[in-house]
Amino acid sequence: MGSSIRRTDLLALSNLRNDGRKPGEIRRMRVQLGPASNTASGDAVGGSALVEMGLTVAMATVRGPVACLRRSDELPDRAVVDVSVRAVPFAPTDRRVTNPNTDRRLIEAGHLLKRALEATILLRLYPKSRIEVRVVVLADDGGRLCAAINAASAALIDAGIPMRDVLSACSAGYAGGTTDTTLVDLNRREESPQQGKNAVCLPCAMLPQRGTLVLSQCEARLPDVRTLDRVLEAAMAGCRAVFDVLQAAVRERAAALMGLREGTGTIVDSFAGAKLAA
Amino acid sequence: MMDEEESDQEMSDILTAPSLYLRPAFFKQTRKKGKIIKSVSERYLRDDLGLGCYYVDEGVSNRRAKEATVAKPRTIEDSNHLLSLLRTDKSNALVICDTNVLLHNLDILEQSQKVMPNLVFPQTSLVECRSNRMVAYDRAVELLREVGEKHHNRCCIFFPDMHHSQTAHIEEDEIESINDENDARIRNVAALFGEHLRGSNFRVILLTDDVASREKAKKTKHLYEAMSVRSWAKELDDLHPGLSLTDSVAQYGNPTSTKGGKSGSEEDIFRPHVGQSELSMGVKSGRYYRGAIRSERSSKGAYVTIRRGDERIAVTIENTLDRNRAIDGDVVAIELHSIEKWISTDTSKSNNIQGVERKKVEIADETAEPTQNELANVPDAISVDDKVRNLKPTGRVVGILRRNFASYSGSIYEKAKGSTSEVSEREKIALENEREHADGSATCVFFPTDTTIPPILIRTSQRDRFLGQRIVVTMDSWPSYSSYPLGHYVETIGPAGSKDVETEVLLQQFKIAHEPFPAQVLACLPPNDYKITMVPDRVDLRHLPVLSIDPPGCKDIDDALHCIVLPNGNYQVGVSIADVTHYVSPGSAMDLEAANRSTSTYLVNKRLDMLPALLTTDLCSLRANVDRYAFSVIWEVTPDAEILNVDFKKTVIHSIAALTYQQAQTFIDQPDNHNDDPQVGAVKRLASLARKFRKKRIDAGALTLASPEVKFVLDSESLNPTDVQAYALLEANALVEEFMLLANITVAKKILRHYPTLSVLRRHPAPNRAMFEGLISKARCRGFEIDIENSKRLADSLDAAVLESEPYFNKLLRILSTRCMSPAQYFCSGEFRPMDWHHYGLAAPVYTHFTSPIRRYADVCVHRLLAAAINVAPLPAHLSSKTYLHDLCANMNRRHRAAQLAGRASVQLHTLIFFANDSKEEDAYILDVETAEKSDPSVRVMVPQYGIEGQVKLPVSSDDPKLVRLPKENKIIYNGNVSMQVFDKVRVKIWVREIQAYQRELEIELLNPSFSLEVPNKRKADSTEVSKKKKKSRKKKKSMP
Repeated sequence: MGSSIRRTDLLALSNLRNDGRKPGEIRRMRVQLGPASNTASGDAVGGSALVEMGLTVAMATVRGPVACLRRSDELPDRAVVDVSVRAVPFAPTDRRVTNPNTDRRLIEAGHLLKRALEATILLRLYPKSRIEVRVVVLADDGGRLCAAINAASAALIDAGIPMRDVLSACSAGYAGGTTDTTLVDLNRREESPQQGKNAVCLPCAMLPQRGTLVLSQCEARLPDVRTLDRVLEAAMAGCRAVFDVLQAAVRERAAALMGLREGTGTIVDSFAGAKLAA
Repeated sequence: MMDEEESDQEMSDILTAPSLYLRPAFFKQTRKKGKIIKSVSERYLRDDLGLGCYYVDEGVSNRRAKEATVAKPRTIEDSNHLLSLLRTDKSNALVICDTNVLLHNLDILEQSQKVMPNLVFPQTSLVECRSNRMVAYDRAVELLREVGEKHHNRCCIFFPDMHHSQTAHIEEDEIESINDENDARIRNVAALFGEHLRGSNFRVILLTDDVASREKAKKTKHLYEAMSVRSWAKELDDLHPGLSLTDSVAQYGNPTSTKGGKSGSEEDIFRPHVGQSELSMGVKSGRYYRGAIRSERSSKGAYVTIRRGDERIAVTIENTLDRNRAIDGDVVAIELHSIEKWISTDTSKSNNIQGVERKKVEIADETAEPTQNELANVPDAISVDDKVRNLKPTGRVVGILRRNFASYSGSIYEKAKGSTSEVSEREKIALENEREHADGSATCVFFPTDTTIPPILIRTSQRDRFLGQRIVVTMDSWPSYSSYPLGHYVETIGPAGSKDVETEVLLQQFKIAHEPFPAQVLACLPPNDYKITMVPDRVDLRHLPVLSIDPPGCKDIDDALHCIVLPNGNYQVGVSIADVTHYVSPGSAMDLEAANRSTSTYLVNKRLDMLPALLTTDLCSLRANVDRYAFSVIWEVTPDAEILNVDFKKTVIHSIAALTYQQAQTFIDQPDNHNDDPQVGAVKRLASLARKFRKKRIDAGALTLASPEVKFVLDSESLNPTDVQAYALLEANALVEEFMLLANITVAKKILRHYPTLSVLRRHPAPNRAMFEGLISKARCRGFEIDIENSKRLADSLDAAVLESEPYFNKLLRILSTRCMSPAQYFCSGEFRPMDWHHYGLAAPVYTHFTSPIRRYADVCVHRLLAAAINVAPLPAHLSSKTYLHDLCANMNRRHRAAQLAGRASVQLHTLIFFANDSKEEDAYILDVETAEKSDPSVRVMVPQYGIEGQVKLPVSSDDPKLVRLPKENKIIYNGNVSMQVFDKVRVKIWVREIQAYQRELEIELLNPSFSLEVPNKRKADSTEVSKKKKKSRKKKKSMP
C-alpha cells in the first residue's frame, strides 16, 4: 500500500519538513524579558518573560522568594517552588476548547516543570521561602512544555533568582519510514499521531553549559535503543540552540538595563518595537 | 553533530530575516459539525534551496537490506550544476508540470522518458495532486524518485517552490483564489528556471492545460513558453517520427477538443453534477446519501449502499440517466426517489429477467448469479409502514464525490470481415461515435472486456495499429453532453485472442492481483534458512501417522488426516491444518496484502497465490516426510461415528505420505485382510467413518449437488488444451470432504461459543421459491415433483427423480437445482440473526471455513479466532471491530466471486482455443425452451462433455404457422413431427465464430432434430450421417501422434 511516505513526504523529497525547516533547525524563537514587571501592582519582587517558539507562545511570571503562606508548606533548608501551568482557552491553533483547569496534560506539564526548576534553582539560598512560577500558554502550536520551561527559565533570570545554569528546553522527534531522520523542535502537526501511531516526541530540558539533562520524556514507541540515543542527541542539540537565543536575549536586556542605570539608554522592546521611556 | 552546527548558522539567518517568514492562515470546515475554523501554520522561506532537488541512488539504504532502496535528494546548487544534470535530446527542453498534468497526464510523462527527459515537479503541483488523487500522487513521486537502470537517462527535479524565497512570494493583486495563487507560484518556478537557463540551448516549457494560466504566462518576459499537453505532444511527435504521444493525452470534457466543429450545438444528455461543497452539505443535512456505486454484471442496473444510522441498505439505480455518468466503484451522492417510484419486490423479478442479457455461449454456471448486494450482505428491500409488501428503494445520482477512474483493458471496435448484415449493438455505438479529426486523428470506440464499464471514446492517430490488439485505456472524464466517457490510450498488451494476452486481460478485468508481492510483504517472510523446530507450547504429534490426500500435483497441501485406534477401541481422528497464522502476524504487510487478495485464484494454466510462494508451497504446505506446524482438531470417535469429545491444539506434525485421490482410492478398495500398513489401515478406517458421517448428514437433509465441471488436459509445452475431461469424483474425494466439513462445523461451533458476535461464518440462504419455479415446472413435465419445502425434502425428491432411459437426467436436475440457489456467503455473526446463519446446502446450523488457510483469507481469520478461543494467542484488535469484519467479509465475497469468474473465464478461453481448430459434434441436453408467444424460437442447451451451455436459435421465423408452442410442457412442435422438450437429448455442433474482427465466440448449432422445410425424415438421416463422418474424422485425428 506504499504507506511508508505520508506526512514525511516533503522530508523524503527535499530534506525539508512541512513548514520548510531542515530537520535540525528549531523554529523561529523570540524572547522578551520583563514584559509584565512594570505592572502597577506594586509588587516589585519578581520577573516575567514571554517566549515565542514558532507559533507557540508562553508567558511566565515569577514572584519570590517570598514567605510561605502556611508554615506547614515551608522547608527548613531550602525554598519551595510553586508551579502552575495553564493555557488560555484559545491557545490551540485549531481552537479546540479544552478546560484549562482540568487538562491533565497541563497538570502533568506543571509537575515536570517543577522538577526541572528544582534541579536548576539554587534553592538552598532561600530556606523557609517560596518561589512562585506561573506559566500561561497563550498559543499552542506544539512544544508547549518546552516553551513553558524556557519562559519560566527566562522569567527566573529576569527576577534575578540564582540558578545553576540557563535552563533551556527543546523537543525532538523521529521520522521513520524511508527517511529515518531525527527532527528538532516539533510543531503541532509533527507531534500529533499519524496513521494511528503516536508520533515520537521527546521533550528534553537541560543545563546546556554543564551538559546536565534535567528532563526528558517520551511516550511513543521507538524502533530501537540506538534511535533513542539519536533522538536524545538531537533534542540536546536543540536545547543548545535555544540556549543561544535565551543568552542573547538576556545579554540584550542586561545591556539595556545598564544603559538605563547610567541614564544613557532606553529599553527597546524587541517585540513590539515600542520604546518605553526611561 | 556537525549538522547541528550548520543548522544553527542557518537558524540565525532565519531569525535575523523575519521577512522570510509567512503565517498563512487557512479556513476549513470541520468534518463532524461543519463549523468553520481557522488554522494557522508557519511557513519558512529559505534561500539555500538552489534550484530544487534531484535524486541519487545511495545503493542499499542503511540497516534494513530488505527494504527497497530509496533515492536520496540532493540540492542543485546553481545553473551550471543544473546544466550538467540536464539531458540533451532533439527538443532540448526542461518541462515544468502543473497540477492537472500530474493528475491526468501521468501516462504521457511515464511513456515519454526518451523524448522528454527533463522534468520539474513543483511542490505546489504535488501537494494539490495529493489532495485530489492519492494514486496519481504516488505515481508522480515514484516517477520522480526512480533512479535505476531504467531511468538513468532522465532528469527529474523536485522544486520546493512553497519554501523557496524567490518563488513563494506572489504579488497581492494576482491572488484571487487559492488556485490562482498556486498557478502563479508554478509560473514563478518556470520563470526562475527560465532566468537560470537563459543563454543556454535549453527551452523552458510550462505544461498546463489551463488556458487562463497560459494567457498570463504570455504577459511575462519571454523567459519560458507555456503549452498545452496536446500541443507539446504534437510537437514531440513531429520531432520524433514513429512516436504517437498524442494518443496518450488525456481528454477532458472540453467541447472544442473532443467534438470538433460540432461544439455549441451539443446538448446535455445528463443532468449536471452538483458541486462538491453542496454535495457534502447535502449529505450532512440528510438530503443526499453517500455510498459507493456497484454495477450488476449481467444487467444495466446498479446499486448504492447507503447508511442510515446503523442500518445499511442497497438503493437501486435503475437506468443510465439516473446513474448520471457514475461508473462502478465511484463514491457518489444520491437522492432517493419519492416512494411512488420505488419498485415492489414482486415486479422487480420479471424486470430483472428482461434486463438480463445473457451471453450466447458460455461456461455453465455453478450457482445462481449473486447480486452485488448479496455479496456485501446488504438487504435491498425494506418494508414500508403502510403496506405489507416490501419495496426496493430507488434513487438517482446527483453528484460524484470520488471518481474511480482507472485503466481498463479491451479493444477498439472493428467490424468483422464476414459479419452478417444485421447491426449489432456495438456497431451501432461505434457508428454513432466514431469520427475523424482535422489533424489526422480519429475518435474510436473502445470496448472494455469488463462489462460493468461503459464503452470509452478515445482519440488516436494510430487506429490501424490498434485493430486486433488488446489495449489498455484510462478513463479521463465524462462530460454531460457525451453518452460515453472519454479516455486515452495507455499501452498495448498484445494481439487479441492469444492465450497469454487474454489471460492477462481477464486478470485485469476481474481485478485479480497478479503482480509479484511487494518488498514489504516479502520482508515479512521468515529467512531462507528457517527451520521448523519443536516449540514448547505446541503439542508434538510427530509420532502419529498423519497423511494427506490431494489431487495429483498439488503444491499447496493445507490439510492432513490421521486416524488411530485408541486402547479403549475408539478411534482418534485428527484433521491437521497448515498453521498459516504462525507465519502471518496480524496487521503486518503480508497480512494486509493477503486480506486484500482474500483468495488464491486458480486458472487453467496458472495459479495466483494469496500468500508468497515460500509459504504456499513450502513452509505451510503439509508435505510428506517433513516437520510442519499445524492447527489440529482432534476427535475421539466410536467406530460407529459417534463423536465423544473434541480438542483443538496447535501442533507439530510429520506427514508420512502425501497421497493422491487415486492412491487413496486403491487403499480403500483393497480387501480387508488386516493389513499392517499404517497408511492403508488409516485410510480404510477414515473411509468407513466418512461413510457413516455422510449418511448422518444426508439423513439430516444435506444436499448432494452437482456441477458441470470439466478439466483440461494441457499440452506440457505450449500449455494449450489437448483434451477435455469431466472431473472424476472418487470415494476418496468424498472422504476428505467429509472430514473437512466436520472440522469446519466443529470449529464454527467453537468460535461462536466464544465470540458470538465476532465470528466469521459462512451461510447459505434457503432458496427463493420464485427461483425454483422454472425447474419445478420443467421437472413436472417429466413426471417428477420437486419439493423445496426444506433441504431434506429437496434431497429426497432429487433422489427419486431418476429416468431409466437417460442416466444423465438426474445429474442434470441436480445441476439445475444448484443453479437455482444463491451461493454461500461469508458474514460476521453479529450482523445476522442466528436463524439466518443456517447453511442450507449442508443442512448445518453454523458453518465456517477453517481448512484452507493457505488459499483463503477467511480461514486465516477463523484460525485467529480459534487460537484466541483456546487461549493460545490474543485476538487481534481489528478482529474485534464489527465494521472491519463487515468490510472484510464483503471483500472476501467479492474476491471469491471474482476468482470464480476469472477461473470460468479462463476455462472459456481455453475452450475457445480448443475449438478454434475444428468444430465438434456432441450430445447436448435441452435446459430451456423459449415458449413465449411471438418470441424467436430457440432452446438453451448444455453440452456436458465440455461443460458449456448456450442459446441455440432455431431456423424458423417467430410467426411461422407450423410452429406450435406448449408453454406448460416446455415444448415446441414444428410441422407436427419435430418436437423439442426440455431435458431432451439433442445433437449439436460446436464451432467458433468471429463477432468482431479478432474477437471470437463459441457458437452452438443444432444438428438433430433438424428443422427444415424439407421432408424432415430425410434430413434427419442426413445429419446423422454427417455426424458419423465427423466422428470418424475425429477418431483419426486422435490416433495420429
